[in-house]
Amino acid sequence: MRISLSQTTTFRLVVYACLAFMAVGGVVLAFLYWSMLSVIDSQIEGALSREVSDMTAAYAKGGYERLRRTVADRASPHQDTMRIYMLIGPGGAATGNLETWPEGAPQPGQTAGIELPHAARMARVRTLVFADGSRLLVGRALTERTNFQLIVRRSLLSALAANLLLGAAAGTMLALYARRRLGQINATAEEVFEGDLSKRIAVGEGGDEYDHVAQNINAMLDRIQSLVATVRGVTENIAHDLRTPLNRLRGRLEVALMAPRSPEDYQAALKRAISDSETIVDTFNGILKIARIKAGALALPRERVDLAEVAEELADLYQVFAEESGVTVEMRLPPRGGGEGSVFVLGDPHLISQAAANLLDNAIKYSPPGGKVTVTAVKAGDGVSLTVADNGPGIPAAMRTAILDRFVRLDAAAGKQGFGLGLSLVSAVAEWHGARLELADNAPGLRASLLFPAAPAAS
Amino acid sequence: MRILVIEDDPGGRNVLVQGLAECGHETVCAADFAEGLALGVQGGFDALIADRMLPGGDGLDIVASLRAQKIMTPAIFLTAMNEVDDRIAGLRAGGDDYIAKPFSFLELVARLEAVTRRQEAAAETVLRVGDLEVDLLSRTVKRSGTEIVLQPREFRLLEFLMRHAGQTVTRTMLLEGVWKYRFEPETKIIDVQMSRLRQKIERGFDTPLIHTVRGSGYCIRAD
Repeated sequence: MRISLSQTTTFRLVVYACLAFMAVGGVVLAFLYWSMLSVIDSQIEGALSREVSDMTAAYAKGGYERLRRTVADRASPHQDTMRIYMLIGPGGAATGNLETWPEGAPQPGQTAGIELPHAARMARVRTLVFADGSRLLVGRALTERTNFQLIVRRSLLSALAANLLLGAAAGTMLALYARRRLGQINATAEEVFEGDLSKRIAVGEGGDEYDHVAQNINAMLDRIQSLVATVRGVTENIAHDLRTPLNRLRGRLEVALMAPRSPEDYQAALKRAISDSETIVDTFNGILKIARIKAGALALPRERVDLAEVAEELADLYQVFAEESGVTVEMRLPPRGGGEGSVFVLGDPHLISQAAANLLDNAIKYSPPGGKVTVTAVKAGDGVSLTVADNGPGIPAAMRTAILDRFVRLDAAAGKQGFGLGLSLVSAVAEWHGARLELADNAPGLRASLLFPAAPAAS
Repeated sequence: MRILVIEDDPGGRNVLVQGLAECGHETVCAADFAEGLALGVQGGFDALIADRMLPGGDGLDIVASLRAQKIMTPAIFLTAMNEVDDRIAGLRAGGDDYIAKPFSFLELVARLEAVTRRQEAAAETVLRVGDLEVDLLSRTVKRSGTEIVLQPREFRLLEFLMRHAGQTVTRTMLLEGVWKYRFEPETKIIDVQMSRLRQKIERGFDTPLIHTVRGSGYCIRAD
């Protein structure tokens, strides 16, 4: 869905920012404007008052003649043209820089703003009458004040226009940018929705908030994709691993029914069928367990687990089996329960035991009679490692990665129990614990190591 | 025994009823949460078997609610939700045991016996089966007065069998009870351990005490 630019959040935010900026600027400018005007006005009033007192003093000293000279002197064209004078003598003679007594001149003693005839300019004037009947008008042209007003108004308007233009431009650009970035995210989301889980959002180099969102969404998609892949893998594996034994079970039952048999034969057939179904259930549960661990769906608390204890208990469980198989199990463990070189990890003791059991189980099973299996738990760098090494046939280097990913069986070890599922479980358990399963050549044999991050010290 | 079966799947219910009847147990069935809870509260059962995903609720809550009312009928959960965390939740709610579907019927029967007898377990210090005598305090084993030396794990294995004398104990019960493991190793480790124990206990004696129960486990009895 395409939305118009003016509808976008970014555009609206920029417009609001511009309006706010204009409001603040307007208030500041208005305050300046009024303060300047009042300064100008009080200067004019002060000037007028000084003129009045000067003129009154002149008249007091030298009567009309002195007053007339003062006016003529101050109104001479060499003087400041902003100053306005008009003196009408007792005989009607006019002195000053106005042609006539202006219309609208205020009553004697009053001040007013008027428009000067012929000059088309505004002035602030004051009038007074002397004892001999002569009338005087003094004033100041308001040209500067008017100019100031004009300048302020003009700058206010141009600032407004510039603000609007820049704001609209910035808003459009930002909105376009946002729309482009969000458009990428939306387009990817739609593609993913259509079923292509491999699509990812392009992440820019700027590391801005869009890149952040894109990175997080991409990480989320990675997780979803791997979960979906796990589910797919599980489905395929269930289909693959269960079809064969199910077929065998069905065949066995069908064959048993083909001809009349003795009760003993029927019983034997049924027992074999039950044993087949047990294999199926075991495989099924194994695959499900791996899938659940891999999907991170296990809500198990993590506790401090002593690998030395895990290994020792397993050795106890497997001791007899090892003896019967003619295999020696050598334990290289730090003392259990803490202290120097203790090997604690954070996790679920049952999962770790099962993973370790699978490794030990394999090692003993694949060792030739007279072979030796070594179980080692040591601190390794920042972490803790649990290693089970045997001197059996080992796993060819090319197979080692494949064996961790899929539930494969090794043909080389034909005749012995399948071992793909066991190692897949170990790998899943390792993943759940943030640990790594490493398969290496023990020359000869297999050396399987679980590398755990060490548990924080007990509180 | 009189057993309350709370299971919504008619097929699964029939298998349970039929199988338990074969073993000489009487069953009463409930097909949903409300019925199961009502019957459970009514009482009069030696044990109950509850599915978890029931119409109307979780079988776990039936048992939790019974326990809240101090009704301590031994309870076994039977469920397709088989992961360890579900299991912990089940035991925490007051269940006595937890069996994942698909399950072995013999496993169910063995565990049913175990949970119903558990209450009777007395604080005995000497366990006897036939001429075999296990002293839990001095940790010695004698058969017809002759001392048999056992490894510590062999002793624990024997002790577990003796505590369930006459009952079938399955391999998983042994793994859980003796080693506290909740998984089954790929190799039939228990069988190997058991054959070693059997050698020690029965070599030189005419009557076998430890019997293999085909398809499910072991039983110690004097016959």
